Amino acid sequence: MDRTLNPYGNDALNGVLPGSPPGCLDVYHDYVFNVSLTASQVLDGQVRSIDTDSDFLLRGFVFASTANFSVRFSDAQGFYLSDQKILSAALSGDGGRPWVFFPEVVYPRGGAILIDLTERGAVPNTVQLVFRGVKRFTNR
Amino acid sequence: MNAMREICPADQDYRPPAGYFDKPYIYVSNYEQPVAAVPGTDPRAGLDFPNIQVPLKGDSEFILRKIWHYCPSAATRFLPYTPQGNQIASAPLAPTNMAIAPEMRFPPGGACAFDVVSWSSNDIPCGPNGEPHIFHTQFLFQGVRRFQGGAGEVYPRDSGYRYKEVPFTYRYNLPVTWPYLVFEGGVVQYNNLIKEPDRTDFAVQIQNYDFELLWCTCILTRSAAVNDQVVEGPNDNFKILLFDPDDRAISSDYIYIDAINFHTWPGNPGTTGVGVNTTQAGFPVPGILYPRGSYIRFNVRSMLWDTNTDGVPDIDTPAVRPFVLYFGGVRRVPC
Repeated sequence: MDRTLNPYGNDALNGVLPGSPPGCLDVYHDYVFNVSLTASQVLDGQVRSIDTDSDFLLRGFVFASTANFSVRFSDAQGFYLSDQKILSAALSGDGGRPWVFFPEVVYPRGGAILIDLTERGAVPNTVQLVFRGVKRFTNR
Repeated sequence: MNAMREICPADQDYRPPAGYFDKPYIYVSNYEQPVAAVPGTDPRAGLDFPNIQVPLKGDSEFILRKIWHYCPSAATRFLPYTPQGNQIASAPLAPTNMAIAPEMRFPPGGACAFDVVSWSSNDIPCGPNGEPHIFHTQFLFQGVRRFQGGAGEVYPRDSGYRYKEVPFTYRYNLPVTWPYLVFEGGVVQYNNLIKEPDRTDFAVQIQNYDFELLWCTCILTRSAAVNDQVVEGPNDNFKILLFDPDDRAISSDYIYIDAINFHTWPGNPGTTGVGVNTTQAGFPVPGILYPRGSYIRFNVRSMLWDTNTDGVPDIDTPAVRPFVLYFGGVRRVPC
């Protein structure tokens, strides 16, 4: 038998290949959005712009914060990916187990992720949002 | 094409390219700094450290699949780089463990590089007044080393006989009786700030059948009045250096036991005691085959401190920390 899989390890530890389409190269990348919220602040219409060197394929999301908040994001056309803001407790702050976007959401180079935020801890809140995925470089 | 579907399902193993085989490995950037009562602070605290490099061995490629940063302060930021020297993220990240998917391939002799912004570290307050301190932290890069091998060479190795796999666990009682600082005559020698030598050559003998190691778990046992607990976090436990059956270390330095403690997995059943931990430990991946009669050998570095702050310069109550290590996996039973 030549089993190489460790069933106790997660998919990433067992190895995930880039899976790039022909003529493309996918490289792991995180887009980071840092913000400091005042107590109970509503901060809508924020923008995390995408670099102009490559498209970005959003596959996961993690965050770090000093208190609770709620958030929602848009796709590249500006359509939101949830009908309301999602409580941070329902998302993932665990980098080893990101909140998954399936199927992946494609942002073209130079595009943007729109972000609406609400502080829910009634305290000043330092928030870091991490949009996890790959940059897709092309040979064209 | 949706690359999520490139993740191997359980019935379709990831395989290295033909002519190569992978061995599990963790590259470590380790920081341990004893500091006397004066000045009593970490000399690196709050400073920025660009381009820290962990050199990679020249005999193999390194396939990076996970990064940990053990850090007590959310204000600290961490920014790793790709093998091409590009930032992995658009801005430094809060302390985290992060799965790297898709994996990254570093060339032989290269380096895992990263920046640290506003350095902070964990603290072992050793003495009766919380002084002196041992400041410590680690950056871990987990993955596999990819070797060129002969035709058909695989890892974990073949046993050379027909077998069926049977789950099996080895237990090892590990009383850690010494603190980080030199411990003589029942008293920690606070003044000299000399580290106690690491204890070497702990070993579990593999009996009866070949054994494929797939997970490790560490429990701290307590008296009947207190629940046993899963060991978690970097403080108040120990570091480990684990060896494969060829006596080669499978990390570049001692690592926190927390980093390979499988049962710190959140929500994992069968654990009692405190807390959950988010290290998502899974080590070794792939598994390691220990042939019958060989040993799972490991060294231990104490990271114990005085938790009861009772002014008594000993390590704790009880003075011996009764850890239990479990090495789990499958036996290869001939059939």
